[in-house]
Amino acid sequence: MKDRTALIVGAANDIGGAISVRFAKLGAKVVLIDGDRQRLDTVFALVAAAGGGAAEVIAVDGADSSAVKKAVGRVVNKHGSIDILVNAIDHRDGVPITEGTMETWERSLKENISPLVSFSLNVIPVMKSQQYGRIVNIGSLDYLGTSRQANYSTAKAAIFGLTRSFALELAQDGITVNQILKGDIKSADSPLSPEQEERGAAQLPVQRLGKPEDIAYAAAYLASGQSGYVTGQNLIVCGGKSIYSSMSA
Amino acid sequence: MAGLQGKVALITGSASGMGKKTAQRLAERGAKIVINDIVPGKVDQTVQEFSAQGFEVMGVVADICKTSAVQEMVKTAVERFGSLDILVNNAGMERAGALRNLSETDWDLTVNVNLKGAFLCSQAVHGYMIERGGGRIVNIASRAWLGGAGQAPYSSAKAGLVGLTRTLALELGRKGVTVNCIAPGLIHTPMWDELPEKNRNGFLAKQPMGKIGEDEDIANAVLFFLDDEASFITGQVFYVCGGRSLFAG
Ligand SMILES: NC(=O)c1ccc[n+]([C@@H]2O[C@H](COP(=O)([O-])OP(=O)(O)OC[C@H]3O[C@@H](n4cnc5c(N)ncnc54)[C@H](O)[C@@H]3O)[C@@H](O)[C@H]2O)c1
Repeated sequence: MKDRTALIVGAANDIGGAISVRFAKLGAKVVLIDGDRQRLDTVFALVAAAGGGAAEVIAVDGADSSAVKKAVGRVVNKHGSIDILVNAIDHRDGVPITEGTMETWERSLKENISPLVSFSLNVIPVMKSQQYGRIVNIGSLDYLGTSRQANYSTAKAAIFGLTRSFALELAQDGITVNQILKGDIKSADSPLSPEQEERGAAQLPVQRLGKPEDIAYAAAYLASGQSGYVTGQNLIVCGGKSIYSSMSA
Repeated sequence: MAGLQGKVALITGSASGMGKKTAQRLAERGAKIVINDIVPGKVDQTVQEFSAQGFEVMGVVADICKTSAVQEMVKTAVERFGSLDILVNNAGMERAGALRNLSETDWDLTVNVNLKGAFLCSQAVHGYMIERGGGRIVNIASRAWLGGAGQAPYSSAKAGLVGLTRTLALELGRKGVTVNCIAPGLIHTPMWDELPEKNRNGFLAKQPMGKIGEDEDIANAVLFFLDDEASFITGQVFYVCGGRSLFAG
């Protein structure tokens, strides 16, 4: 990954942050992107402390397509390439069906999908011209269906079809497109009480919840030169929870 | 990949092909290697090659379909290296043919090597892993487990291996042992080079990437799952197939 330019979209959340730190340690030139300037600066400090001297921050609303276009243009001008795109944006609102409105649904779909599509559409031509690229989308096992998160599950299911379609269409351009499906991850973004944590861990075959670093480890493989023959795949990082689903092999 | 130094790894069928490449990569990262194969000459040659590179290696000629041979192999390995942390069930072979042309021997041999062998080796090894507080098992299945005309015994055996993977992941998860499965697509072998060009082109036309994979691609994926840092990944089927598992007819 050394000297590769990596765009991490959603870098301000725990998983995006852990990925940014890991990639910086591996020698990538990391560009941290998020709408949340304040949290971006916090992650940037972690990345810098991890030795990410070449890292930089771009605060941009991923749903604003002209701002995204400008941001990608800026990176290309500065670095001359974009080798890796990680889409780590993740929004859940926990709204049950009967309390949901068209507004809550549209907002959820837009927040979860628009930045991913928008960055992909701007970055893919750059990767095509290089005939090299790695796109890693962070999905969730919840795409299989989950109670109280129908809108989120729907958005994540969209990422499933998108990942596979992009993979097929770009297969001959040296670009791989894969998805990591996260299971139950313990992070500051989804705080749990000690009892909830214990109960959650007890339900998993490995008897512990995941950490953002577990996802970052998987992302590093899919974003590296080592995974060139892997495309369109789901890499499920869930402590074995997926074994209980028929849709996981 | 730091978490492989000093580990003891048994790779079945590792005197050729992707098993040998995996053993080579593991040894380069500081693991102690047990080479197994059923063909004595190939075992000797591989052990010689590895020793010449300064690796800690031993060879065991054993038929993985025989309980006593497997138990003896594991015992000898533990006596020499003190334990076993990693098992890669890689040995495999295929007797192919249309349903009406297959013999009982074709079925028994294919199912025994690809499925029963993995069961016997996992059974013989897992106690040592538990003793050490954890371990890693990776099974080499095939994309063909999804079904393949003319591949009844092989497809069935590899499908069985997927079931074995998921079941052992459930049983051993709380003991710190992860069990995963790689499903390779078409991988470059000496046999491939001997095919007439017309046949090769026929195969290539079905590959989304327009190319087949190399041993290296499989070894990279196996190492990803074997690392200490992969502790939250278990029970997975991971396709290294250039996108062939998507929808490529
Ligand atoms: N080559 C491919 O395209 C491909 C595709 C999908 C899956 N696979 C699987 O990958 C694995 C490795 O395949 P490869 O292409 O490297 O094959 P290979 O033939 O080069 O290696 C397999 C090794 O297993 C050994 N073996 C066979 N029976 C044995 C037994 N009873 N006990 C011990 N060793 C035994 C063989 O002697 C051989 O050295 C196999 O499980 C195969 O089914 C291969």
